[in-house]
Amino acid sequence: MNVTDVLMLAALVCIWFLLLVNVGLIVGGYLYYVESTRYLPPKLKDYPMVSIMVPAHNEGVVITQTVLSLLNFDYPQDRYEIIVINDNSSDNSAELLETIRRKNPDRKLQVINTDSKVGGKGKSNALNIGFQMCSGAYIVIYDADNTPEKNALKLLVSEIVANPHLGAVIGKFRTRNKDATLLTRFINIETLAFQWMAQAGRWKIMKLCTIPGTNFIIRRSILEGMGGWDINAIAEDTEISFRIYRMGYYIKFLPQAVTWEQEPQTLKVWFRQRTRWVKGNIYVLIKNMGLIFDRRAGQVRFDIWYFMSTYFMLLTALVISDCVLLLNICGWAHTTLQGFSNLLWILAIVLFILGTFVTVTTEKGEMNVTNVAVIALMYFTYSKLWMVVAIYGLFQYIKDKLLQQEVKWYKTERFE
Amino acid sequence: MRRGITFIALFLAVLGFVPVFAHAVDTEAQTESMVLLVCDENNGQARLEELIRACGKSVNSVSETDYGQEMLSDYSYLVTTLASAYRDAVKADIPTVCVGENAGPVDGVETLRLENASIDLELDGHSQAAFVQSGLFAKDTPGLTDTYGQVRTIDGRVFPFAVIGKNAAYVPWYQADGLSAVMLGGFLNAFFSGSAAPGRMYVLIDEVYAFSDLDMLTRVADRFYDSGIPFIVRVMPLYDNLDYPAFQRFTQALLYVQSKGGSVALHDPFVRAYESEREPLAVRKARAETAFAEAGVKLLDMSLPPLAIRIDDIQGIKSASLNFGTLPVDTMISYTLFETDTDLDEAVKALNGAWLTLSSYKAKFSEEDTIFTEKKIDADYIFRKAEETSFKRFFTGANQILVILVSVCVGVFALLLIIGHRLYRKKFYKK
Repeated sequence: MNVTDVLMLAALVCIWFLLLVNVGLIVGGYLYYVESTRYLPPKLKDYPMVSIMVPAHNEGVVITQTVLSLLNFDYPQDRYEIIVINDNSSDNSAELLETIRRKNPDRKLQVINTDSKVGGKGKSNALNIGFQMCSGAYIVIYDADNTPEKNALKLLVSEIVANPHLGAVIGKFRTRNKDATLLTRFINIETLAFQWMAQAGRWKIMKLCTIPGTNFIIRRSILEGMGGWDINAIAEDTEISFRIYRMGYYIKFLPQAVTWEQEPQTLKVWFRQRTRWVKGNIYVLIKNMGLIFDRRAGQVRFDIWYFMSTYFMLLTALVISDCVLLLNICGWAHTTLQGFSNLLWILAIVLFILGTFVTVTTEKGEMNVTNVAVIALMYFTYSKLWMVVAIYGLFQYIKDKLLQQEVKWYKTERFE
Repeated sequence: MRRGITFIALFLAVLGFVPVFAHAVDTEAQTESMVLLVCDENNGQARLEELIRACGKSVNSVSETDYGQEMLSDYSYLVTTLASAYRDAVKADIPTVCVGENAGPVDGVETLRLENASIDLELDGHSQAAFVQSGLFAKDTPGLTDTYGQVRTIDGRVFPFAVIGKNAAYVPWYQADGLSAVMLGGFLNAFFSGSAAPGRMYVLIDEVYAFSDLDMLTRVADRFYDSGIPFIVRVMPLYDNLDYPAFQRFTQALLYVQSKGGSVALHDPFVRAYESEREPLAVRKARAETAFAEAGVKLLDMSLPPLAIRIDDIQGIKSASLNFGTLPVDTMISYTLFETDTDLDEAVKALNGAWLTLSSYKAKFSEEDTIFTEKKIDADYIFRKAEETSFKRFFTGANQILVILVSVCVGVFALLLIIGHRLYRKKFYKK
């Protein structure tokens, strides 16, 4: 038994363990889906004041549609305000927003235009600026490319009002441009799988969720308690989730509250966006790593462990196993491990495809043979690309730390 | 000095045999002559075939029940364990060797039964002790044409091992191994050839194939060459993939063997039952021979191989002098390719220690030497033995558990999809 064997053995144990954990999450998520089809949201007696914040940096392409859909909520107009933080934009966002504002003089629509002095420092900073202007007891966040469904706000509010243990309620996001390219098809499946496996599954089994950055409602008191958003965190959503749980609240996944968002249509844009996520999540993980040994952290420990397994263990395991495989093919290394049978590996691939397909069948129009083929293709392409992104993100994070570079918040490019 | 005396004694003994067997010589027909062996399989048929072939004779065998008198006309000699066949051969005037007590009585030969007797077999300075539970031996009587070898009992009585009676030769008792088999071979050799010329002794590395340890083969060649031991490598025939690097490496190793004084011969193919339905064996064999020839390997004919014996058999035979010399029939001391250098060392030590007179097999055909020039062969196709795998039990157990677990999960997902399909239609497509 040599070093390669030890590494390979550890990698195999990690891969199989996480695969089985995810199987559990898929089943949990699906049970939650079945429950949610019969779920009736609580009725609102009073409509609390709600502040909707939309951070926007050069979002001229999409901002009009987003704000118009926000104005169109099935919620009393005087009980919610919209605050758009036009964060140091150099495009025509300010003009577009001003036009909407003029057309809707009786609506509570505020536009905060920041310059490079106070703004342009990322989403967290923009949200902190907007938060100062909020008057609502509940804060709702939407990204600038979102088109929420009409009832989304009411559903989010009714859920959080009805349950005082909930610190935040997150809705579901769907891909608006899923038919644009093969990449957006992949992302569509990825987002559905993530939400019905990781979010719904964790909620069903562990009462855990992670704020996705958009289409969620949070109590104002919580934000005040935590002093707003961490401006160093580029994955502010994950970061805030941990803080909510540490304050003793839950975050609930409410799939009935739906928003549609635009996803990257080109690999370059996708790569930049995902690199930012990886770096952001690594920051949050390192910041909260100590909690894994803290009993008081409760079920958050599972989340930290789950994220760590995904970003470090699984990544390392996959990289090791792929490297060993490649080195074996090249004849530069060899392992004496007996390994698993081909039947098992084929079954594992079938399991991946079926499991992912189960999660996407929760949505209208997704239960078709094409999606089975797309998932199979994803296994050999998109999943491998994620590995590259994860390695690159990790490398960039280490580089930023070593060179003490300022963390940049890359804005995701929008498409017409 | 003692070696010199033995040599002279052997020489004289050989000379003494020449006139005795002159009647059996038919030099014109010698190469064409065939031997009919009438013997059952459970009566030592295979061993007798080997002995006859070692004498350079082609043989056809027939069981005692399948034998018919009409068969005799096609053969020049008869070797039989069946008395009736001997009687037929006398009528047909075919030189006959009767083997075993059931083949007799032979005209002009008187016999005596020995029971529970310890004996010494003796021939030309070689001897070996044996035990006879019950056996018939020919008496040395004046009516015999000639005798061959001796059987000496511990009480001093002496019987000839083989005799030539009035109309046939007779070997009433023999054993399949040791000196007894060699003496029978020597007698047959003398009977067929009409002379008692000493046989040659070879060393054989048998059943070498393309994926044998070729490094070991070259080490064997080096060691034998350095020790002055001529040797034969008998290779298993290959019929397919003759352009593969593995075959090229094989032929390279054989060329090296040839350059170190080794002879290369092709082993008879092992024919399996299903193979009869495929390409004819002769065609495949010809293809293999052509491939070896094209690679420069000179395959020497071994269709009538010398008698295969083990070094243990040699060591079990006493020699009157330090020089063991050779045996009365062509023999080959057979080894399979050594697995370790220790085995090789032991073999070289045993061969050298036995004071054998070893011959080069290729000298029968040509004295031409082979010069070896190494040829580069694609390293991508180096054969590597399958390595020992680690965590075998862990992976075997885990594999079984995971196959069950994953199958259950796949089943659960399939169930979810079936249930989900109804839910899906009800939720999204209800009228």
